[in-house]
Amino acid sequence: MKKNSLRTLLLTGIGLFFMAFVFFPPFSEAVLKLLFPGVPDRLYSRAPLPELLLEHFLVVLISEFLAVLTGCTLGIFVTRKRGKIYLPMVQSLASMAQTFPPTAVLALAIPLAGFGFKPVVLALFIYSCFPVISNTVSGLNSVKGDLIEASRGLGMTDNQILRKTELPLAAPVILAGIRTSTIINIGTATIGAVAGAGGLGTVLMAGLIHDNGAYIFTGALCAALLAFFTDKLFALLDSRYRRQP
Amino acid sequence: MIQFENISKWYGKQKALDTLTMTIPEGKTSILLGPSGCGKSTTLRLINKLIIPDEGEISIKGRSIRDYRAEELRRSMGYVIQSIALLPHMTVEENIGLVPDLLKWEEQRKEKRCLELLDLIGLDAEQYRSKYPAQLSGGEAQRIAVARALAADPPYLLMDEPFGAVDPLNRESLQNEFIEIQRKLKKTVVFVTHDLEEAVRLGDRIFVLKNGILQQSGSPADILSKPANEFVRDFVGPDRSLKLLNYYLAGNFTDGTDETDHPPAPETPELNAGDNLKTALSLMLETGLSSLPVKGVSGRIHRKTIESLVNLKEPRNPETEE
Amino acid sequence: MLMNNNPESGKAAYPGLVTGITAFFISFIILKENRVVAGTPFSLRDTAPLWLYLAIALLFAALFLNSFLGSARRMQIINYLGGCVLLILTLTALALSSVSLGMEKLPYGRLSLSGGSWLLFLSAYLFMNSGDQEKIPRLLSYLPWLILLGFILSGSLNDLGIAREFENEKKRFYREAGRHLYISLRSVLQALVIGIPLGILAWKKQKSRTAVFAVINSLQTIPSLALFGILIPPLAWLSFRFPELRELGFKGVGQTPAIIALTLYALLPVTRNTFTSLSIIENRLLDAGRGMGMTPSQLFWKVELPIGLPVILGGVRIALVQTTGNTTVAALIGAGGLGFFVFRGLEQAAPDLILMGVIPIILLVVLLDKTVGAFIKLLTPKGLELLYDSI
Repeated sequence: MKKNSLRTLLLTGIGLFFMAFVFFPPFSEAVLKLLFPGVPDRLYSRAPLPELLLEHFLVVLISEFLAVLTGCTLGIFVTRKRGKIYLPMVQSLASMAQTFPPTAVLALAIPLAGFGFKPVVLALFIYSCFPVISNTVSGLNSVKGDLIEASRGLGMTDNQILRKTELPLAAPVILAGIRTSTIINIGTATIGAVAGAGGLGTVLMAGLIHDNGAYIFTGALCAALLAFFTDKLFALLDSRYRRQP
Repeated sequence: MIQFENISKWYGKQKALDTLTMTIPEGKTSILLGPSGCGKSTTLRLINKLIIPDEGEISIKGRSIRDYRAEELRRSMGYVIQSIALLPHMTVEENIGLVPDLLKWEEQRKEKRCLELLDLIGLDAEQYRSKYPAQLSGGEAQRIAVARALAADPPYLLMDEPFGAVDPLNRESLQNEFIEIQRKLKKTVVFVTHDLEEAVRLGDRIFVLKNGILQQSGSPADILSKPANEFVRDFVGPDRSLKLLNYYLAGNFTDGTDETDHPPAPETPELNAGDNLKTALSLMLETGLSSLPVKGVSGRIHRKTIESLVNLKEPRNPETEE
Repeated sequence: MLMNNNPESGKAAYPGLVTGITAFFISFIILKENRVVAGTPFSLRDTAPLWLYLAIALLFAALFLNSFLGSARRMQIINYLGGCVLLILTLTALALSSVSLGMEKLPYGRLSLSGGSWLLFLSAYLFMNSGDQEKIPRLLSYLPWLILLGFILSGSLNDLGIAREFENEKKRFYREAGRHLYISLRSVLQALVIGIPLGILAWKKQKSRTAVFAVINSLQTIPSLALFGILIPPLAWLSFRFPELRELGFKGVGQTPAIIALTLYALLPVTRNTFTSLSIIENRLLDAGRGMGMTPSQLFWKVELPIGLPVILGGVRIALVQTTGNTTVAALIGAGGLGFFVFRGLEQAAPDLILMGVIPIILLVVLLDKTVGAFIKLLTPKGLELLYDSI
């Protein structure tokens, strides 16, 4: 118990720091002044930090939402009787795509789709689909045959079996896939700044180009904390889900 | 002969064995019997030095096991455990050949021994030698584990609930095979179990343990007919008289009269000499007969004899009268 | 045999057909007079000779008909071979396009693959993967690679943009490829040196377990670019304060932060798999080994290593794939590597330059993955394979 409350305290502390750093410029100014006393221009001025965070968040949210929608649908389809014929195709495509570095997929999509917000969302969407597909398929396949048999014996239709038996049992695995793909997504979105998607990567890249440590630090810290807390959110969701009987 | 002298063993503050003194006879099957946590497995693992006692002395044929190197000692003792523990990455043949390998036997000798042992445990050698543990059923795997323990022909065999994880039907046939094998090989076997019936069936001598203290030792008949204290009486259960009948073989209890003059009616059921008296009694109750003939043995077995055997209150038992 | 005639199995060809036919209606290739000007798109009909155009169309028609005939197995083999033929035809179309568009006369021109050619490649891939890959004869599975290699070595693709970029940057390419490999391998090696003892520690000391995994799990969630970025200021400060470090090549930007960050990333798979390998070696097996009289070293060689090594190598495999991919990003902080071409291509809007970085990276990843995979298969005893298959 004691250890747990210590962890909660630590997490809350980091969370408050993050909030203050993003939304309260005098605070971030003070922190950066402490860390980078020699740098004259410490605060990124071309866009406010909350706006960049929101932009980053939106890129991830939209692409991930579409990926979950597509990935789950496709994963369910190929595990039904009607779509079973496509299972090997989808599986080999998903496992191959996942060995590709996400940056490579982003870079490949840009010349085809162009620069900017939408093309980056498109690229992130495509890449994020694959972990979701893989985990949906393996989650649904891990549901034991006798449970499905038993559900059928209770008089459930195929649709009811999917909703009441298969999906709830596969949910933790599917959730794990969404978690993985979201975390990769946040990281790749940071690089998306190179392709003009905006977001926290913009500050970081500006820092790298102008050799400004404070910019680099600001962008890196915010991106890292965004990913960290998103992951913690998923962990919370996961434990909530598992605690249910 | 394995001797325990005042052996004590603590796990933390808990005493697992308390000044245990006992003698395990040569060439016989000795059973360590008791509920879980009684110290029987600890006792077994002390013998091959997987555990070192805190106090006391264990000696084999008069020589302290302290004087043996642990590995050497273990190689002279077959070891079978409940969870089977065949090495999953080796074939049946390689598993059986493990100890011979450690003893640096030649390939040819190892192979010959493997085939011999597969034959002994009743598995087809050509079919099984190159299989992997993942391809075996539970009963088959346990037979292989016994073969592995016997591989280097060790004089001692330590068995820790070897048939505990096998289904009842398979367990019985494994027990029968064990009796058969032991009759041929006459090893000094130390066998741990919590199953009284198994102990009675297989044991020449039973040691009953509770909380690390030896409660009673003796032949199965002794344990069943004369429990030394309340614990042993409870452990053997209220149906101990029937369990005792398990132990007696029909062939030994006929009246010895020659019946060639008046042979039994053709439809009278007949007992085998190896059937136990529980079967005999059951058959009598079923048919309503008061006596039954035994195949190949002169004379009949009488219901009265059985009744007198299980009447433990009166000292009319032929075995205990001596 | 008739039982095999599942009317559904023909549908496996549809995704390949749909992607392939779409390719006819969009641009196949883009021509730029030089790297700076805007490009002109050409469709397959515009650039490929008629016979080739018809051949591709006929191939799709044949594959469509095939989807109604024959047994599932024969259909799959025909789909696979059809995919290979499509690959040959697409590559031929690319080679002949550079001739028909007169690329030889445009030394600064860039002929880039466009949506149509990518869709044809995807279509070929989908045909080849229309069924269970295990059922494809082993020799056939090398065919696509041989086709690709044949076209590249024959020089018929030399007038494509990517080949021209490569020709221009040959020297630099080999240098960056070497750097890429060096950064990746060194990081994984360092992760092994730290991660294996860490995994053993986590297994032996219950108390340290939660802490170790909490830290390395959190490290994995941090975006690679962010981790590089966070390391830059403190490293820059260190090298500024201690010139001796700077002389050792220790700098704020460049390879130092890249290798440190990538090592930290690679810790998770290595540590986790070391931990797993120890926990799957069950106590009962060790007990049995000891009970048979094995010495500690015999126990290690005969029991622990054969069972544990494949699992640890599995971790190395994940670490290698992940690190080789992440090294791409290291180019952004001046560490070099193949990512250099990727990001310069993005900067200059030069798709061929991007491809010149991306394709070798993907090949490298696949190659490392397959090599370590084959190695693991070799080292996994057959009995264990059977055991894992049965659970």
